[in-house]
Amino acid sequence: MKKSQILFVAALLCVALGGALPVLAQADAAPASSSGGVFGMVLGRFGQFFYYIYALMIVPQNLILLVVSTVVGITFGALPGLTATLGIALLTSLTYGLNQDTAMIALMGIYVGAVYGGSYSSVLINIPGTPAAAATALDGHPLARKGEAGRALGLTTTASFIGTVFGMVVMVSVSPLIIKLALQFTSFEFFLLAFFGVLITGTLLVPDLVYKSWIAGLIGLFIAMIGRDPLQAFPRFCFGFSELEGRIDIVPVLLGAFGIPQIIAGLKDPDDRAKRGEFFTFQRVLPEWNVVLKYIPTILRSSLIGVGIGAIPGVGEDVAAWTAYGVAKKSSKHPEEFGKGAYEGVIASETANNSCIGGALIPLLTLGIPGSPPAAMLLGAMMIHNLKPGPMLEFESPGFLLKMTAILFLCALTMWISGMLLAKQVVKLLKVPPQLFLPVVGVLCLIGSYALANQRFNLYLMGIIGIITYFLGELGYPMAPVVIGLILGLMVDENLRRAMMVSNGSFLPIFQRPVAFIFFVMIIVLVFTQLPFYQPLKAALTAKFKKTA
Amino acid sequence: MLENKSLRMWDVVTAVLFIGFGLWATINILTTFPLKDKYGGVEATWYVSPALTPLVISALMVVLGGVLLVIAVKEGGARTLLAQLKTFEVSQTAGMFRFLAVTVPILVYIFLDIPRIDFFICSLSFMLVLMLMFYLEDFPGLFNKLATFYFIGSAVNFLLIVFGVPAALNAVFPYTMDLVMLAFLLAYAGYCWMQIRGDAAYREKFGLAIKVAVVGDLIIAPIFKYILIVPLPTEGMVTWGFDRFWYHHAVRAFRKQYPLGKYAIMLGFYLIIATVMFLISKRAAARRDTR
Repeated sequence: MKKSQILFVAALLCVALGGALPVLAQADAAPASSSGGVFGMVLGRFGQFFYYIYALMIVPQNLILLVVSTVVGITFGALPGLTATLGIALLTSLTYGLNQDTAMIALMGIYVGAVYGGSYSSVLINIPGTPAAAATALDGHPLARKGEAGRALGLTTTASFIGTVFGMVVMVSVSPLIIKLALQFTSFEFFLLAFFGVLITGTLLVPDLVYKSWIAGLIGLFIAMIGRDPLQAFPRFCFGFSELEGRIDIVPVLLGAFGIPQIIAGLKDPDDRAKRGEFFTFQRVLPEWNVVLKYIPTILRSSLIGVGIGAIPGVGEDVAAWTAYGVAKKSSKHPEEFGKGAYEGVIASETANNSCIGGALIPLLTLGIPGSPPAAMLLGAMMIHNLKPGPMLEFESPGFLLKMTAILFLCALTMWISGMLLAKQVVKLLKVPPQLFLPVVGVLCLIGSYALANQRFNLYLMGIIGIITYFLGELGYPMAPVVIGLILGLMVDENLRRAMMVSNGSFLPIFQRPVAFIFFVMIIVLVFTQLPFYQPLKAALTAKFKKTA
Repeated sequence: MLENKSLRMWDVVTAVLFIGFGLWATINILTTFPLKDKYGGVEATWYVSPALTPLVISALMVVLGGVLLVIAVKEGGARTLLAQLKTFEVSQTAGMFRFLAVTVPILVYIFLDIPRIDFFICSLSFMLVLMLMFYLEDFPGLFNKLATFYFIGSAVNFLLIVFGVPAALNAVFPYTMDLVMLAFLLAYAGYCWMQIRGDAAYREKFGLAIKVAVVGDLIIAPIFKYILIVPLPTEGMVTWGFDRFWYHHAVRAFRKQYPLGKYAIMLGFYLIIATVMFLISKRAAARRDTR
């Protein structure tokens, strides 16, 4: 893991511990409930969890959508060029007329399915279906070449299921703690947290120079400023266009940023998947429980890495998969087998990228800060369905967290069953040339952008954003910071100004409030460690220290 | 992503653009945003002003743009840019042509066609143009011919719009431009067919592209229009035809009586399409066998 990642996770742990201890102490001081204290509470939660599963499943519409969306998600993930973010963005406009629960089932189904589905093309044709499955190709494809394609897919399916369930367990365990902590946050904390979220996304996702990633974050923040400001309704950068006064919709921007560049790249430089058909046939997808049980330490470690990285704003499943793969290789007794068809490699990457889903939902549901680009799209979809992710979510929508846990579990189970039963059918789609389905995706992106607000302006916006982001991508500017900046921009603006109003223009509360101070220090450290003089200075100081020692 | 030398050259360009943008935004904010007095009944001191966050963003953009410029110049970006400007290389035109072949249809679809042409027709046009151009591109010389044909058609389309011809034609008959677009589409497909008709493999690919485009169009647009009740951006000739059926009193009565009736009607519609496609494929296969 990078040092900045370790610093962030350490900071979160300190903050969580610092905030959790007095909260837990308060809980201990409270009189034990008549239903049997902590044990009774846990049992009650389990009961509620199973009740939600039952309540969701007895509605036929939910069951049908669960299966359909998971299979569509797997298809999206399997087809190179289509991503989980794009799938959720396209489905958002389709779910507009559905109730909250059904919409969440559909969106989570496509999210879980797409993250897992990328392993199909990774294993069979050595082209990752999604960036999250890139690490899986290193050992998955050699396994297919050895005639073990079915076994490889069985491993990825089982590992993905375990990873998703692990992420779900961590999400439901940690989220209430974070919510209790976040309820004590003031505007200063939220401003610094949101700003830190944009900054760290730019710092961790660096295809070229870190300054370009930060500029990308600033572009996203700037786009979020367009429209009437939330506190005084002053029109910012509207230039007389009434369509801009209501602020820029997230869905057309995301569809433009993630859809159009994929279509351009996929048609301009198509892959040669049609010529890689030799591994499309396999006997059956086997659930490799015995192999999986053998690598339990790897599974636990990869799941923790996935959840931890998922909790970092903006950083997605691909980073989790690569990090887990790297750690698994370093700690393996037989590292030389990696890259040649090591089961451990496949298990590590697939467990991590799916446990990342639960991790990404933690900051999303508790703080309103998306943990990955698909989670960012999920945030937009939730807001469309009148859900406000953040510390107040459990108060405004009681039981929502447990319901999301139930939905995530159902999606994981459906993914596993679909993977076992439908792999051969989904794999046939890999033979479809991108030149035939990418134009169809283009039309879907377009109508998806339009459907939200019935505004042609959103189409024009999507087109312009799409062309600009294509060029930015080619020039080394990552898209994730743009998306996170766009989503967190209002949070940054509102909370900064509110904080300043309360303190009458003083920044002193940042140094008086421990959590705000920690975030402030994190921001300073993050920026300082990326400056060009940091490495030489560090080397000089280290050499000097060693000399004196 | 581009390779390092090209990347630094473009970093010089983008850095200057971002510095310029940051400066423009800063000046715009300082001159037009309320930084003092009152706005909307609220005292607009600097820390409450709507200018605060945008000012921070634009200032940071200038600073980071400057840092990027320094790094890019240090790593030879400026030298590469000057060298490129002095000897403008034409060898990049093949890549540029291919890029334009993808982006021009997207831009024409969004900015020229959707506001004026029936959504069914312009979506079919978009899909078919790209599919025929790129799916059949292995055929020698076809890609360049189709792309050129499309560019000329788009240029004519653009000029017609500039001179107000579509509005004038639609005043005579409401769906004139829909017919013009259909005619262009037929001409484009016909031109493609003329090039590849001697090769059985490419004829099959041509047929598949047509089927996928037509079926895709007939699945997506009706689902949004009639199931999700999303009005299409422009509803012209084809939508009028579908509306005649969907809002016919008998069909309306059926939908009212059976809540799931609309899904049954859609299913029936797709079964008809599937049957037609199946029959066409069978006939084409039979023709291949007799040859």
